Amino acid sequence: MRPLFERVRMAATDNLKLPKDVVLGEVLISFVGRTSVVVENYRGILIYDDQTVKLQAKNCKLQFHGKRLHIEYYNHDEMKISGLIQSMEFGD
Amino acid sequence: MKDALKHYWEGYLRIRLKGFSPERFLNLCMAKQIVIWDLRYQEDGYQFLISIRDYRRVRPLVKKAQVRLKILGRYGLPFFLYRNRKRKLYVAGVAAFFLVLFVMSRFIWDISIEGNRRFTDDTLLHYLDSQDVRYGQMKRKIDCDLLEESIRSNYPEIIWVSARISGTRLMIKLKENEVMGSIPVKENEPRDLVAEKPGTITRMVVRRGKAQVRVGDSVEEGTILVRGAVPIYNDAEELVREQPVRADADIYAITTENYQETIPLLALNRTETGRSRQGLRMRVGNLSFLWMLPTLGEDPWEITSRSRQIAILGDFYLPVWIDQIQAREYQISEHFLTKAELEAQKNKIHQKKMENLTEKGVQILENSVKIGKEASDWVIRGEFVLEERIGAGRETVSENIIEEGEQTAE
Repeated sequence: MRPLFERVRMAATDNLKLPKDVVLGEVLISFVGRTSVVVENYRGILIYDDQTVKLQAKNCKLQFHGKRLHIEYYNHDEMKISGLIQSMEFGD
Repeated sequence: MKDALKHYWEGYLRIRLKGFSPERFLNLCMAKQIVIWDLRYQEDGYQFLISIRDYRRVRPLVKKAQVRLKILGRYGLPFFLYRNRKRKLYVAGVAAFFLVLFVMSRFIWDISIEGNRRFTDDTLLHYLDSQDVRYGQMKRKIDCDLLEESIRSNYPEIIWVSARISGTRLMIKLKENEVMGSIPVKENEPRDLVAEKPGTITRMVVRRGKAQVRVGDSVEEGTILVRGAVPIYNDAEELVREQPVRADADIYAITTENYQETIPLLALNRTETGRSRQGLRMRVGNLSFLWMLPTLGEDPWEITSRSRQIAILGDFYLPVWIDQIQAREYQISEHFLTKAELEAQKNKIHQKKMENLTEKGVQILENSVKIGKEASDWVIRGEFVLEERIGAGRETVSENIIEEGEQTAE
């Protein structure tokens, strides 16, 4: 039943052109150059050290690699990471 | 910025985080809405900043996540106050600053007047002074409405006044009556028109009175041009009486005008030697402090200064003035005027005279100028032949007119 409901919701969002981050709770990532990134709609921190930040989002995991990574602030729905970001990857 | 101020106000701590699962601790903090910022990874653990209030709520999470916290630094206003709790004079100084600021802001330190053209600032300031409005007066003793009214009633020529206190400045804006104050009284006294200078009459139009001269006549100074009396004859062409009138006419005559000016043989030249000094003077009330190297040497110095009143926050004028002083040394040398210089000066003077005459609406028919040397000066003599309007009013002198008039009235 759940996947059906989910499918309907996705179809509705698509067809009505609603923002997915609001309706589906998708993660929203905004880079400013390669030195800072703001992640919204994340769920929690999985790993953090100065070269890796791994975050849990609703439907996926995301991982940032870089140098001197530093979390400027984080709260319930937003996190700002700065440092030299080298790559970002999604995982399940 | 707003957050930074809030954090400073509340006080915050730098914490070192060590232990089994730091990420779990961070997630727990997030869930409890405990704000952590400036999180860094370091060799010996994590470091972050946390407000004092949140630090008190963090204890149960420490156990749950099996981590250890260590306070590395304390920042913010509460800690600053605690550290400086014994510095009484410092606090007194800060308090005194605000007290002085507060007390000073109760007074007027600047009066600005705008829109006055006929009345000088000094006149108005003097008047304000007589109304107990002056520099250093307490603000609350000044009633702007009353002040406006008193200025208006004291100076009928001022038709609109607005007084406003802004900061420590009293701003007075006013508007003067630009049209003439009163309608000129039409003069009706009988008068003659007499020549005020000799000349030859070229044109004349008489509007009222009886003309005594004709075009082409030469007149001397004091000659009556138009008499202010109209003769009235009866049918037998006998003079019955003379009606006194106010003579009025446009009379133009060719006149000559001479002038004489002297120019000294020697001209003074001022040259700057290149030496200059700059200085500052601060004036506080009757005290003044001067920072400037002395102006030594035999030659005179020209000293100029620019004064500025100190104001903070735009309109908060303090009773402190700063003068910027500039001094320049100069030398005076004398030399005989050269021919070219003399010629230039002569032309300048002559030109000036001509301009003056043209401005008066006089037509210049001929002009000539000569220069000659006298004992210790050059003398410039100029002559103009002009066509100008002559005729000045003079009270009718012949008394018999009035007598006759009275007789006929009987």
